[in-house]
Amino acid sequence: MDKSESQTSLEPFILFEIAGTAYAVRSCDVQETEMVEHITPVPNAPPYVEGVVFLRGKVIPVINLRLRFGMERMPFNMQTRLVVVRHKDRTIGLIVDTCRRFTRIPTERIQPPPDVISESTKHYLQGFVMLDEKPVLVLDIGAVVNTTEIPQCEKSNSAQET
Amino acid sequence: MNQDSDINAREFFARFMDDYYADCEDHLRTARRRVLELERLSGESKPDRAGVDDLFRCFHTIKGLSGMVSLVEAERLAHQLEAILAALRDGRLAFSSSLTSEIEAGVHLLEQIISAKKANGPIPSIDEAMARLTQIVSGVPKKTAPVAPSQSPFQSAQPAPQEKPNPQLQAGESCWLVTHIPSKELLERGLSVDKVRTRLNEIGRLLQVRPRAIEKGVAFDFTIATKAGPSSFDALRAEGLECKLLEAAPGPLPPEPHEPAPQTAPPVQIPPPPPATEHKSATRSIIVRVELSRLDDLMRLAGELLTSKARLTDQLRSVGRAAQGAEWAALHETSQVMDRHLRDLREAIMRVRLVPIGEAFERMQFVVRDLMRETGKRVQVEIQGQHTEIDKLIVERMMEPLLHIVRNAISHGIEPPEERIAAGKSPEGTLRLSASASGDTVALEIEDDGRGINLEKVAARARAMGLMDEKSRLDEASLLDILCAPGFSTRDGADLASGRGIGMNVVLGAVREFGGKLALHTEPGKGTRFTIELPITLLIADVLVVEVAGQTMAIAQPLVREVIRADLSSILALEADELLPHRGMLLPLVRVSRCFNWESPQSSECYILLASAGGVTAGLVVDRILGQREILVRPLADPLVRVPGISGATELGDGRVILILDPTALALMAHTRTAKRAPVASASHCADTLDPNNRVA
Repeated sequence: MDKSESQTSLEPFILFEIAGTAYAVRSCDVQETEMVEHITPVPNAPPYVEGVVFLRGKVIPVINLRLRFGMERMPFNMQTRLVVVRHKDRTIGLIVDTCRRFTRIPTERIQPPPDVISESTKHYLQGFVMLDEKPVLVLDIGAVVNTTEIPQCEKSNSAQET
Repeated sequence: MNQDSDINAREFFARFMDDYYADCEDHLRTARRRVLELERLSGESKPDRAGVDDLFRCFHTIKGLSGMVSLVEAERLAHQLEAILAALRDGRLAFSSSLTSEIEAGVHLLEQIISAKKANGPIPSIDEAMARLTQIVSGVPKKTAPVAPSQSPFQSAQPAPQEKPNPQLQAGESCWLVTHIPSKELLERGLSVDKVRTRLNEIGRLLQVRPRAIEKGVAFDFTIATKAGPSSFDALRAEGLECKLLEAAPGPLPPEPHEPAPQTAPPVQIPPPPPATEHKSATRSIIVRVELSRLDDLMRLAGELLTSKARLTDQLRSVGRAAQGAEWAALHETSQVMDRHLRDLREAIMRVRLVPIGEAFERMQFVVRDLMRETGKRVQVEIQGQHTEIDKLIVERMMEPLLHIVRNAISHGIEPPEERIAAGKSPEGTLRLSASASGDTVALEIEDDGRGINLEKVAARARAMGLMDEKSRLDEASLLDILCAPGFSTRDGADLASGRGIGMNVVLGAVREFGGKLALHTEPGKGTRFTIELPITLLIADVLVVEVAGQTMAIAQPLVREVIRADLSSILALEADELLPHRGMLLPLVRVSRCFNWESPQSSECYILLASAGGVTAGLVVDRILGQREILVRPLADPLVRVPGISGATELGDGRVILILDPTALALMAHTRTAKRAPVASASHCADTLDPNNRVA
């Protein structure tokens, strides 16, 4: 389970950390990484929504991933980063403890999430992969930013013609 | 080098195609309007001459343009339609409603072909339509000469080299090949492909136009038949176009006119009526087609100008405290003049972007026609307020959502004739499309007089999907939330799903993207009405900047009727309500901070903004007034941050976002404080509707 000599497809991912755990998102979903600056709170938004920021002429919502994943809030520090992701037409900032750059992961080494985890976690967890003998959780960005977690219709936000 | 020219050629082609689509869109729009007029006249024995002429011109031009871009299907179809119109105009073809619907179907197909080309999709087959149209024309007694040259006019479609025409030549005509290589220089002199075409049309008749790729880009070969002599081409030669005589006129040339006038050239049989060309070039010269993105740039610049001007005003004000006197007065006056000019500039740019909504409505009529055919229902479309103007981008983005609602209204709302008769209604249903402007918003209504939405069915579906629990009852207010839940309408079995196109959640998304509102009213047996409120234009607004619980916020100024500075001691507290005696009335107050669950700092005074909505006047309580600004409104479109009471956001130049309050929603929140939920107009995701909190003070 170490660096593979594989002949297979390597996909670029961005790695970041929350509460000591490493997460990965496909780098094609990531627009950029920013320092966290002023965030304007939005009243009555879901609790994990930190607020909105102004980025490249657009006002985008910011999700605090700690809160999204049911963890404690932590004050922002110099390590805190805003990972700006794109999903469909939306652009959303994700606050993470620290961002660890870029890596290539052979896609076939991504394994399905273990059965024991809770349904709500399974919802946004695409799987995990062992990198340097440490597990890295691979996130499904679409599920992370999905607001309406209606059971049985995850597919529905792609309301395309049938 | 070679690659460079390749890129140029490609770029040029792309731009040329863009022009082609834009031109076709114009002509199709005219054609649609004319067809609808024809249809209205279908009871009469003769159609309106001007309308037929206009339609003829549209088809003729589309034919020509399509030939230039080698879109054979459109060219052939347009040609056949043109032939029918010519026969109709000359009275060789009887005017009937079935003829009108053939023409209409033709227009529709043309539209499909052109948009398929644009989308790089498969071009729909025209065989069937052509067969029908040909049959109609073939039954027509021939005039002295056929409407169009009896040989196929579609040479451009065939690979046959243009060097050897030309059984198409008529007596006394010679055949010329004019080659136009578009270039910047020529374009600067006003010589576009279209202009060349127009000029050649004045000299003779165009037999074919072919674009071909050359090293430096694209060349257009125009083959033209004319009775005019070689000197007619002198002017074009002088412009640098290559003109070659391919085939001299059999027999002696006619005496050459001094000035080639269109009238001298075409004999009676020539199809394209010169007035068409003239008319077209006349309009062309006064209309400039501008890409929307360029207007956006202008708009953005104007917005930035406004923002920096506002800062300048602030700075002037602070300087003004120290400096006084004549110089200051002059500076102040200049600043004010500048403000006025900026406002005018902003309005002028916004006006450029406005288009009448009528066009969109006309397209709906076609869809309705199609649906009537498919469903066997009878529907009459009523249109009101088609001259209402709205931002072009908004119209375009709202097209699909509007179509969706219209399809739903016909597929599911309006009943089949028998059912209507049984219900004591007129067998013909009515679909009303209306638009009206008030202030900064346009309200669009789509109303049918059909069976209404079956709440029970929707509720059952919603329960099955887990959107609603077993106990709660579905009322009209939450109906819209259910319908707009993702995935709802794509399921079968629901009374509302039209089974194609997009779902209601996409409709809602589009409306919200522009900071608009969607509302629904339905009555069993009577019908359903969707109301969409949209801003007339995007972007710039006058706001008051206020502070609420330490947060800077903005509020659209036109919505605030009055600002009252009040002492807290003058406010009457009544259980949950707070009232302010004002001008002999008791004004209900809404504490903005409480609506948002924020803590306002202790203070002995506050400011109250008087806002009215839907007949309710309420006072919004804020902590401080910071000033007045013109701002660039930025949509707050993401569902994560679409919350009641907030209508958008802005940025005042320091990179910080400021939220814009929606006084209407806040005032309504005050009014409906007993209700469990926020008003329909601003209800957002399902999570909200299930929230039993009474958040309003």
